[in-house]
Amino acid sequence: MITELGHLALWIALAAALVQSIVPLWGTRARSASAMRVADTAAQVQFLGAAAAFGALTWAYVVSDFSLANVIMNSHSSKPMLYKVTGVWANHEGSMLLWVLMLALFGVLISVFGRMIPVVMRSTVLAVQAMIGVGFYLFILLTSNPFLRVASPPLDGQGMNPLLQDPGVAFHPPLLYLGYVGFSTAFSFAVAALITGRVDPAWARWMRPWVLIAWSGLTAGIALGSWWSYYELGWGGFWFWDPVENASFMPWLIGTALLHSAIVVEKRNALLKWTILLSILTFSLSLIGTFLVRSGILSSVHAFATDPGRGAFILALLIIYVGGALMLYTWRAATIGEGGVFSIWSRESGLLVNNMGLTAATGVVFVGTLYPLGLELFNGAKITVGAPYFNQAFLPVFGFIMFAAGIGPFLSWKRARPAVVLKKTAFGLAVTVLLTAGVALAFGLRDAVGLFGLFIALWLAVATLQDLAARAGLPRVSPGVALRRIAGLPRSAWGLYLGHLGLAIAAAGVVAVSVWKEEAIQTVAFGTPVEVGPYAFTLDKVENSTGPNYQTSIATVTVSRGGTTLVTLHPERRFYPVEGQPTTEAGIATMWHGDIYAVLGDPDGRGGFVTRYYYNPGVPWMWFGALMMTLAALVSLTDRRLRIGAPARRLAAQPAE
Amino acid sequence: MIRLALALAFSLLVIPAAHALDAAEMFDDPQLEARARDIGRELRCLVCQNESIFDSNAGLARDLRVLVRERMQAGDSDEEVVAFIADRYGDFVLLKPRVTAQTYVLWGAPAIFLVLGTLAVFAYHQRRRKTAAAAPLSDEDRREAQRLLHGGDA
Amino acid sequence: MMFWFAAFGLTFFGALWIAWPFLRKDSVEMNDADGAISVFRDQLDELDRDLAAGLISEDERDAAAQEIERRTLAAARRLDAGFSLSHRAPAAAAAVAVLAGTLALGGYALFGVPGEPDQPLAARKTEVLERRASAGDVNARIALLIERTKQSPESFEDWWTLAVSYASIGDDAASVEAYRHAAELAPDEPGVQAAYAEAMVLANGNKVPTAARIIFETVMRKTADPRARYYVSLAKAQAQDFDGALQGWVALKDDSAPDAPWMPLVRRDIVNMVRFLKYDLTEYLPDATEAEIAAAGGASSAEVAVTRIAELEAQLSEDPLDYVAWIELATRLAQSGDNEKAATVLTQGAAHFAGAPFVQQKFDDAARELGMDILGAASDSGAVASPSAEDVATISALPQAEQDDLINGMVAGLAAELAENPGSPEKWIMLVRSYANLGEYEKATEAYESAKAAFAGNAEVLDMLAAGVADAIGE
Repeated sequence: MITELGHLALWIALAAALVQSIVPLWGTRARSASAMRVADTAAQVQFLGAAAAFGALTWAYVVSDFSLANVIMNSHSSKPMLYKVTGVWANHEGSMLLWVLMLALFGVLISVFGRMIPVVMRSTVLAVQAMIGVGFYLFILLTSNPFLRVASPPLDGQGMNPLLQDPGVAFHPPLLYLGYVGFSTAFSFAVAALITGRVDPAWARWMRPWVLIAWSGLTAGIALGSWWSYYELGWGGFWFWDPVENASFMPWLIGTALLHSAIVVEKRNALLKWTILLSILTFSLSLIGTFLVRSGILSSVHAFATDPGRGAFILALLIIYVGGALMLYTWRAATIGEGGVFSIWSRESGLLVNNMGLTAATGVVFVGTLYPLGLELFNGAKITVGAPYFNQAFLPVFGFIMFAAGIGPFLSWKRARPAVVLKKTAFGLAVTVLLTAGVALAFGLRDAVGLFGLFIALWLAVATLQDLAARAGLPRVSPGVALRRIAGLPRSAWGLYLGHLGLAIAAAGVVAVSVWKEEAIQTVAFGTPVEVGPYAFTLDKVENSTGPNYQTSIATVTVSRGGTTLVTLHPERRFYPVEGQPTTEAGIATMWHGDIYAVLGDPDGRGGFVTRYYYNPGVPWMWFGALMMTLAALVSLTDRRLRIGAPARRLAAQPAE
Repeated sequence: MIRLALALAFSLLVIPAAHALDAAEMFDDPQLEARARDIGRELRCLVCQNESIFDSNAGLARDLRVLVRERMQAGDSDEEVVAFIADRYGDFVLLKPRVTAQTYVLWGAPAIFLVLGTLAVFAYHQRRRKTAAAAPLSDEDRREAQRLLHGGDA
Repeated sequence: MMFWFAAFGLTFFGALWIAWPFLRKDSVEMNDADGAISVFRDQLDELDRDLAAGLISEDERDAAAQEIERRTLAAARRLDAGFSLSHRAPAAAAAVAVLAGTLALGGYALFGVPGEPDQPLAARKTEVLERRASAGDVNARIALLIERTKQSPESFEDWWTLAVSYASIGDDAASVEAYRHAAELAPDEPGVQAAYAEAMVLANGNKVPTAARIIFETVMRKTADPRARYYVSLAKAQAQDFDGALQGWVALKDDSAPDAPWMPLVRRDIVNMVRFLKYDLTEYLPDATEAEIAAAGGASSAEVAVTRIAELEAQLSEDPLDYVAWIELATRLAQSGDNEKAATVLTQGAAHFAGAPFVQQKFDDAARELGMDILGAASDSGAVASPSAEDVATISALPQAEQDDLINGMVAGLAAELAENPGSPEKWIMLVRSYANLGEYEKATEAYESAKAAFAGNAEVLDMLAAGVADAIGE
């Protein structure tokens, strides 16, 4: 009964979304407060419905109810409980359910925390949010229903891809979806702005928290996915420019642009149309990402044809939402004026350059990802666009963005004095050149590309700290005063510094591991050391053992440097009998400058084992930098100005009409 | 019980061997080996999704790795090896597409986007410069605004 | 019914909650600019802070303040235009609620399976077990019977079937427990009592415990149950009363039809007793076969035996992984009268095959055949070599040499098993791969050839074999 009621709850959510997308809009025209308030109650019912459906499906996984086709295909009674639960979203139907749950969650959060937003705007935003929901509820219920029952339940399920039975990847989709779906709020705000014709700094401020949450979630989600592939796939790679990865990276890039352009709207009432367009584009790229991943069109054009129902449905949704929003934009954009003016030398201009760079970077990833598909459709030629292309085409553009990100904070709003900016830049550049040279000499680094990358990362860090120091009043004031000033900086300023420093640190990590990684792949006998950079790896023994639903060979690898033992690693090679698949678990030891990384391969049948040993410098920096960026957005979210305008202030401000 | 334990012991013996890079196919000369890996990273495993033959465990990837090494043994340069394999398996095998008429747009993308973006930024400034600055607010307006902003006490 | 009640309730409250704003009392919702203006007010405060911190100049502050004022005016003039009224509108509420409710229930009724109960695995235990049991899974049948005996502990039938099922999977200890319940429920059935006592013997490593002996003797007093008679004699033999045992078995033989199912066992034991006591077999077993005479220590072939024993010993010191030779050696030693040494040989041989249950069984059979389990010295020939489950689970913890021995024994045992029952392609693949893993490629190829021969003409199995061994022997 629980599963059937869950199915019903999903239909109730659809009905609520349908009401929510129609009645409030009618209310704004008819000036009926009741009708507009339906947006709130419908958003609540919609969320409860989606949550109940999700809960019911989770329940079915937890108790292994194999009368649901979805549970049969993706679970097994012997799976550990954690992976029974995470199995809910480790498949198409369940992940789409999580998708709409997130969408409904953002809706209800806007209705709860958006009380300071005037009712017309709020109900319009919620109506647009619900329109997106209607399409996806229909998609789930009509083509991807997780509640389909089977007549005679089998004795057990077919299990779940063992690669996904891992805590890292278990929470990757929810965070990623928090980002993907979170950008739906920006879309809804943008479309609502076009419908109501109202865009001003207040609008940008109402939208900003949602964009911050989404961006933070997407950053964490991408980093978590990257971390997972780093330790689970077993060759030390962390980013493969895979279409699925690109699908999440494009919304991140363009979402970063949106995050910055919204500041200009809020501060200067400028770049209004552009910000609205960016909001639409950001969510459109999220939708395109969902389409690319869910339709299977990227692995091959033919995969799309094998399940045309789903692919065509999402494609239709994509055309309706993206096309509809863009048409609305071209029709209504003319009614939106542009506010404040600014000179070429200004913070606004700097942010515009940031936007231009990030949009260009997004464009490169977009072209690279879709080019093979387009070419095949165009003239049937089959080509591949892989990591080497992206490294060559994307990284220079991104390097340019990072360079500009260092200068940006030097610029003051509206009109900056070029001489001051140039002086600061020159000082920062000089420091960076000295630092880069110092690092190169200290560690004997030669690689030109690597040094250039290092230079860019150092530059961003130096410039950011330089700006922070200037903001604190250094060197004019005493260190004590400076510290007090730094402590008193608004949280949004902290967001800027943490975010830019995080990016610099992560970039340094990426450069280090890409250029100075050491690797050795070989067959080793027990007790024979292998040199990898300054480290010696020795395979001591391999033991067999069993886990909850797998068998495993656990190796003991001792790593020493200059004769002293540093650490003992335990890479594993697991075998999951239900799914009949092996997986590798890398043995990793993290130090401040890098990871020592060992992978156990197959036995060679003569007493030895194939092993892969790596020294990956900079990898911990990547994770740390990503964490800093994630936190930066959350710190920014706590800025007091985002809470301004709450109803509590209304009485004090009540003007005489 | 003993049967169970044995089943376990045997099943561990018979985990199917994956075709990961193994020592048997590797060169002894580390420089030659480094070259082989660099070439391997630029070639796509035909049956995998977006994996290079160096990273892939598929049997076909192993065959290609062996082929690369055979060509290198025969004295081919890096470019010749890649060209040899591309001739046999088509451009599809190249992770880094060749610059040809049908990839001009692809390779030009970064430049095109950056140039378009720069033009757009300048066009924006150009157009904005023509818009006259808004007239200053009248004193009356300013007073009303102050009143709105500071409540009744302005 | 219950389901529809819940479904209607859920839908009703959902629809009602959506429509609730239409049912509330009149109230006003201002389309006011307060929200926006308080944002602008905050921006103005921020300007003053920046000015105080010296981040902007007085002029900059003033220009920015004017911009904010302009926005404020725009917001106030544009947005203050009106307010919205909320009316109680029951008709609209009903329309919205009915629409939403109908859509939800209607859509669900079309696509759902209303009222279909949940089927969590735990609730389907009995069903699952029944399906497995009917497919021939003894363990599932046992689990089912355990459930049933829990529900009706007074059912003799269930206990009896459970006991027999346990016995069939060799779980003698559990079997005894089940037989005990059955025996308690049928205290006057000599057959049941004897079966219970027999289970006790089996669970005790084929040695008759005192309790079982008492039961057998009680049964014997009531009826001439052959099983009781056999085991009472066995008890005597195990107490080293070979004469008494011999008399009992001979009597049992004389009272039984020559084709009674227990006759081979009885004859074997008579032969062993005669050999231990160095009597003349024909006195006790007038129709003894030549093999039986030889087994009882008939001197006719003693010459041959001595040379053959030397030959076997030499061969086994070269290659200890030949269980047939080990057993032949023990048999010949026993026939030549050296029962002690025969027992030792069996123990030694079995130790080489620690991980191979198939071969262990062969050794146990041989020990029983020769009556070694009766002789005190050989009482635990089988048990020594069989490692416990824990032992095997920790194979990997053993020193390398012992680990190798264990694995060699396992593989040899597998080979021996396949030589006798070649019917399992999976086991052939396992054997080939094991050889390959041990680096014995010739043997691997040889085994593959034998496997192919065993399944000649069965293309499907041949394909499976080829696929299974492909990467092991490179074909």
